[in-house]
Formats: sequence, C-alpha cells, structure tokens
Amino acid sequence: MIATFGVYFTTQWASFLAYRVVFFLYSMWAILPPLIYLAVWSTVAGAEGIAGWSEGQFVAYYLTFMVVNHLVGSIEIHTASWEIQQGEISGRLLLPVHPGIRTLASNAGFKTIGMIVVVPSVLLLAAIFRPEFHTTPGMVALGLVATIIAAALQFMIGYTVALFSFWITRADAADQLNMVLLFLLSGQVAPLVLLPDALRIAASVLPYRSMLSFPVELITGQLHGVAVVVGFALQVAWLVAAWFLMQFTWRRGVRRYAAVGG
Amino acid sequence: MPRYLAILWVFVKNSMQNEAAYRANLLTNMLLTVVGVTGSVAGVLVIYSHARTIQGWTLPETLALLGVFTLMNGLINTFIAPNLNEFAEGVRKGTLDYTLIKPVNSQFLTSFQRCSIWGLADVLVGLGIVGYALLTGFEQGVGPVQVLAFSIASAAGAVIIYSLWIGLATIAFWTVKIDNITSILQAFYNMGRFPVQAYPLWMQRVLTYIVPVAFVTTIPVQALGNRATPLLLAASVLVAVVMLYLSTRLWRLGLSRYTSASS
Repeated sequence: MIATFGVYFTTQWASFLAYRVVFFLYSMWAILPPLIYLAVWSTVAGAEGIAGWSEGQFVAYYLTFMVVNHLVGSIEIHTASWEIQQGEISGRLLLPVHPGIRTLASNAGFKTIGMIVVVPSVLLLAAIFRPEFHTTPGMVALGLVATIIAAALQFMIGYTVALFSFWITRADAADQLNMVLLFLLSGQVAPLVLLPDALRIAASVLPYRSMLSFPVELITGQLHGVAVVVGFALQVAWLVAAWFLMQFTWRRGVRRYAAVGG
Repeated sequence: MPRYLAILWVFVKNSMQNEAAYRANLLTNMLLTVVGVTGSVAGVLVIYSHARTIQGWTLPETLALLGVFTLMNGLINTFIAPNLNEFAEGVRKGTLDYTLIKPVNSQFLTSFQRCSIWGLADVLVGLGIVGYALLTGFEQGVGPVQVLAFSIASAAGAVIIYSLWIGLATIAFWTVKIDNITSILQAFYNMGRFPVQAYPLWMQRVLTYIVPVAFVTTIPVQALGNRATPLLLAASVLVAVVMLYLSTRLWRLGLSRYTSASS
C-alpha cells in the first residue's frame, strides 16, 4: 500500500511539474483570500490594537493561517469529482488498488509542490507586514501535529463531497456551500476568538475549527492547558466520524455507479 | 448602437430559454448566490462588531460597497466569464472563424455572445444590498445628484472591469491558454470587497494604478456618499475611456496574429 502510494506520488509530482505554472497559480489561492483579511484587520487594529490583539498579532495569525491553509486544503472537488463525472474512474476501479490512494497522492503532490510558492510569498509578506509571534517551540510542534490531522480531516470531507458526484451532477454546489462555511467558521474572516458567541460555538460543534483554525491557534500560541487537550480530542473525534462517513459514501456510491460515455 | 442592443437582447433571450430547460440547476445557482452573499455580509458584520469605522467607512457604506461588488461580479458572471473560455478554445481550435465571418464587431461578439443569465441573480441581490444600506442610513442625505454621480461612477467601473478582462483575454492570441491569467484577475477583483482605504498604502497604489479595482467599487460608493469630488468622477470616466480604447487596440493587434487552425 505504501509502495503503491509512493509510485503514485512520484508520477503525480512529475505531471504537476510539467504544468508548473498552473499549479503555482493555484497555490496563490491559499494566500490571496486571507491577505484581504490580514490587511483589513491590521488596518482596523492600527497602533492601539483591537479586542486585545495588536496589529503584529493579526499579521502573525494570518501568515500562519496562509501556510496551514495551503497544507490542509482539499482539492478533491477538482480531482476525484472530475474522474467520476468523466467516467475516467471506470478503469481505475478495475485495478487492485483503491482509486482513493491515487487521489490522496495528487493531494500530497500538489501540497509539496505548492510550498515552493507559498513559503517565499509568506516570507515576503512577513518582511512587509512585520508579524509579532508570542509562542513556544513546543506549541509549534503540537501545531504541526494538528496540521496533519486537519489535512487528513479535510481530505476525508473533501473526498466525501466529491463522491456526491456518483449521485448528482452538481457536486460543486455542495462544495461551494462547504467553502462558505469554511470561510466563516475556520478562522479566515476573523480569528475564532473574535467571532460572536453563536458563530464560535458553531465552529466547534461543526468540524470547521478542527479543519483549519485549531492548528493555527496552536502555532500562534493562543491555547494553553485543557484547551489544547480538548482541541485535539475534537479533532480526533471528527477524524473518526469523517472516516466512517467517507467509507459509507464510497460503498454506496460505487454500487450506484454507471459509467457515462463510450 | 440600437442594433447592438437588439443583438444583446437576443443573446439574453436565448440564454433564458436554454437555462429554463435546467430548472433544478437554476435553483441551485440561486441558492449558491444567497449562501455566498450571506457569508460575505456576515464577514463584514464580524469586523464591524469590533470597530465603529474602517478608515472613516461606516457599516452602511461598506455594505453598499459589498452590494456594488456583488453587482459587478454578477455582470462579469453573466456576460464576460462564460465567453472567455469559449474564446480561448476558439483560438486553439480555429473555431473563432465563425465569429469573425459574422457582420458584427468581433470584439462585441466574443464578449457577449454566450451569456449565462443566472449571474443576473447576483446583480439583483447586489442592488438589494445597496438599497438596504441606503435605508439603514448614510451619514449625508442621498439626493438625485448623488445617485447620478453613483450611476456615472458605476458605469465607468463596469467599463474598466470589462476592459481589464477582455484585455487579459486577448493575451490568448499569443499564449492560447488564459484560464490562469483570469484566475489571478479574479483574485485581485476580490480585494474590491473592501474600500481601498482599508488596505496599506502600497496595496492601495496597486489597486488604483495597476489593477484599478478602486474605480470599480470604492469610487462609486464614495460618489453615493457625497465624498467623490467632480475631479475624481472625471478621472474615473477618463480611465474608463482610455482603458476601453486600449482594449480595442489590443484586440485588433491580437486579431492580426490569428491564423486559424487547419484540420
């Protein structure tokens, strides 16, 4: 299984490198939308700060957000969903490997290649906006673990939404709905602590905090003690739930699948 | 001019008939518009729950700006976006020939022949937001003069965003593929959700002089709030005229490179 993944990963990597300009541009999508909110919040904070946040803290938060956003983001609506709609998955279903392994390899390949754009861009922005980090190496390490869990969680949810293509032609509509919720509840429009109570609770009750905001909160040193444990517990709980949801959707979907085209 | 308006109306009517065949799809798209706009409005409200103004912009003014943003986005999605990919395909496959042999201006046809009417939902919702923002109170009263200034500035803004899109699309004559370039423009356009004053100075410069998004959303709302000087309005119109002229020049230049494709 790991060897198969390795082969897929290398071939995907090679094919992405062939279309590198496209993939470099796609990686900008992890950076440009949060840049809007970085700029607006740091303008609003100004010299005095706002709600206990200084300008530099907002900058640190959003720069971290950009990198994590790229590392955890789901692209399955463009890869897996497309395969199903075009009927390309037919051939892959005949192989003795789950087609999801290939989808996972594209995801990992895209993220590693994208870092070539994301890291320099974020460093450049750091030189311009001057972030102010109050964190410890331990928290950053925990944050990286949470980033991996968040990436797995977003992959499973993104893959499940992409699998809706087995039933409906407009799985992208479900994906866009997911994106709006992600925008509001995952810490992009504002760090979660600054949201009104109703939205903040929704972010934790739904998987959206675990999908993106939690690792960012850890890396920027916002969390201590029990809050860290609770955050990880929520992430793991959602991960397990998403795993079963994905398996269930996959089994039902494949049974229903009828290839299109000739 | 009346002839072109008549042609445009035929395109819109055709599109309506096409879309009416896919009613579920139409419903889905309207739902997505509502969800997307609700998200954007909620985003603005969150920021204003912590700040009374952003660089002098009050909540109703920023909401009006979001309305203009949504409206312009609707126009792009209705008229320009659906045509551009078709155009790039036309250059690649040589099917642009069919556009060129028609006795109508080729830039006009390329820009508008395939419209997708569900984008008009965004236009309506955008107007609704502007209306709501006006009712909840602009600091200065809004009279006929302001509405006129707003209309002029918005029309100029629409021309500017059109010229940017078509100008970038024209690059397809040289590079054949354009979806990457247009996705970058979309990313810049998204910065028009907030007044340019909300950004640091260097970004304001970029958004005014390089990708003039400021003229598309910020200046129309300033005009509505009686904060745009006649000079600013004149500059806006001038930029629109110059950019439209440049886009037609670029179109001609690109067209002279088009050699069709043989099968």
